[in-house]
Amino acid sequence: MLKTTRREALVTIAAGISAPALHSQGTYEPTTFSMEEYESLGTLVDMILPASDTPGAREVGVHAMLDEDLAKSDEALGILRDGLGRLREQGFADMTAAQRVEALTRYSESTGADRDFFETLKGLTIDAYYSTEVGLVQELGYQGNTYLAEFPGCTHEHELGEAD
Amino acid sequence: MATQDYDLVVIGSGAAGGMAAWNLTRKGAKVLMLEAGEKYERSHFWSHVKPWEARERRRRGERSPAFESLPLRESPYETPAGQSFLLRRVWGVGGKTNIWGRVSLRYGDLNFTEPAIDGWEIPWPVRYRDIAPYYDNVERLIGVCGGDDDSKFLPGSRHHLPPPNLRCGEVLLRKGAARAGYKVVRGRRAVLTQDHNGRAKCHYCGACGRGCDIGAFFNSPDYLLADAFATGNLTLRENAIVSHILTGDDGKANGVRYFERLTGEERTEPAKRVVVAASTVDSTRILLNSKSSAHPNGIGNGSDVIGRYLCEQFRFHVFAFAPQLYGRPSTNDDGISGGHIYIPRFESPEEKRGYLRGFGIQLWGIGCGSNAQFAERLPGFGLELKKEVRKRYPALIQMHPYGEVLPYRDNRITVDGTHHDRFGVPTIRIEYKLGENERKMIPRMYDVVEEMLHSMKAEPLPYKRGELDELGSAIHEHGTCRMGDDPKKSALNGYMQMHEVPNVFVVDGSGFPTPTEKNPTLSILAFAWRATDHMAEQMRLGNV
Repeated sequence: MLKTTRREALVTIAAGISAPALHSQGTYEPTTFSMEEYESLGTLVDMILPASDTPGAREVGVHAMLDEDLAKSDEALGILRDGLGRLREQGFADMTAAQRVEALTRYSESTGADRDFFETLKGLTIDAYYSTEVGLVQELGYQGNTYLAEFPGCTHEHELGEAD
Repeated sequence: MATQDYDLVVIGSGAAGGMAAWNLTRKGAKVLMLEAGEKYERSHFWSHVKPWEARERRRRGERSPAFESLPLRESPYETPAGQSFLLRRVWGVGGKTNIWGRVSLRYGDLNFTEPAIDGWEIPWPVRYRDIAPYYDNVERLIGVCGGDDDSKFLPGSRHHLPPPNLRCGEVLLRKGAARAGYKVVRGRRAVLTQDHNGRAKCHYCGACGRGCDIGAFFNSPDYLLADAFATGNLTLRENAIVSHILTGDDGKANGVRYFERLTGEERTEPAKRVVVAASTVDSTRILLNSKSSAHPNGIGNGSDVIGRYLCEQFRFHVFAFAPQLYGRPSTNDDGISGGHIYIPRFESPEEKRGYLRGFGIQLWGIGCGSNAQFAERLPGFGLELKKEVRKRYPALIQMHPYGEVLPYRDNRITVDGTHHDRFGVPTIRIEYKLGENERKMIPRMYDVVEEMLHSMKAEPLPYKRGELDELGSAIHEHGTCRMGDDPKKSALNGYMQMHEVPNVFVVDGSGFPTPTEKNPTLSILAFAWRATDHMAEQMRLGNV
């Protein structure tokens, strides 16, 4: 069973995205994915958007968000499950970090089902990560959806540069 | 009040029905309004719920108003295999005006006369000079912000509220378009950029699409129905799904049949006059289902034009980045939500172009937004991707051209009776496809977009030339109950009164013979106002 680290739980709570069904012991139990799938998913979303000067996708609970969001999805869930299954057969869990990057790169450059898996994983990770306070505000500097007395608009001098 | 005390029944409470009720009640008419859905409580709008807070709320089982789910559940529609049509409807008090895009562009005389110039189908029975005073009236009433531009493609107005300041990306796009020889004008939207008629101005939260928590953009409940209720002449019946207009032996309308949505009970309401304003597709469903011995083809449809000539705009979306803004500090780019600039149509019918009519370009979504969906189309993954997303986030540019689709006789809505709703009423089938004219316009639209992006030195995200958004996605359906001078070719006269059934007026977008390249709500309000002025006068004279 995957243990949510104390740090992960704290970051998650601070970001206002307390993971779904978070138990008092700090354990998250996926309901859509199996525990093994869920663990690989956590690794994968973090490979798509890793920690930098801001937390990565795993730390903000993107894999938990996908577990929650995909409960009622058929197509995306099927694509992820199939892809996770193929990665499992390739021994993903035991790969080194470099081997994992190599495997995901191969998926991203392939066609067909592997490519679908990569695109789906990437799209879902991006949508989820940049909907969190960490992703949207801390990482991108989003300041919107607030009350302004006036809308200042552009206050800079922007030049196009020379015409071709 | 006994039911027979109503002077007329209005079907629908959106822009068209709201305007009809507003105008007729203030002239003293007793109006019964039937609305298929319920009132939306403004306090339930999620206008100020951040994306991460929305997730929290959903986890607690809370839901934002489901504006579009009711009609799909109660009155589904079909399309032929491989011929999809995205039909977006809002059943509920105010209809789509609760969440509309607010773009408010006057149609020009060219829009009305062009069919006579190019010979494709019938011209409008109304000229710009006829409708211009009503555009003035509507703009004064609802408040529309915009610039002082004026052209034959987009007539100007003396009534605009101040336009909002431009975002950084819009400044650059305007410069780039100008360098390529294209005119960019201020966007025109029914958003209050200053207090207007006692209503508070916009606070720039950018969440118009979730409904405005203070009513700072035009919507039928706040701007029309409230005044209509204040006259004491309006009765609103919610959850009343109208199925038929009933007629007497003389062929005139004498009642309306509807179903109580909550109990399923069938009701009949006597009606001396009927104003149909259920939005194009649902109005058409009601008219076609209203068959009788006097109207075997549906009420007022001896000409067999009702249901035909369905038309709107086709559109596509190109995403790009302004490199001049790479890595800049993020800004709050919400503004009044949607583009603060617009590129009006610029091609005249006299020019040799290989196609008829034309297109305009909408420019929403420029700058820092509330998501980073563009990142899905950036290459790769990992730290490099994350860095690229942050760098490009303030630099996002979007272009959304809208092209006019010609009215085609076989683009149509039918109720052939193979499928029924749960009340046993036939539901609709939509057959709609583009023709040769649209296919010829598409490459030119892509050329123009590419020219402007190149000229501003923008870097586009990958796209496939020729690709279009799903048909129907503009949500500007028209044509299926068109007005015209010739009763053999049209269902309504220029006052949106049925040629064959004088006590029925159809005042929504279904009466427009062409879709034009523009968003229609401002024009729907103007035409509904004009139609109901005429109706009131005819009532006074005892003619209807």
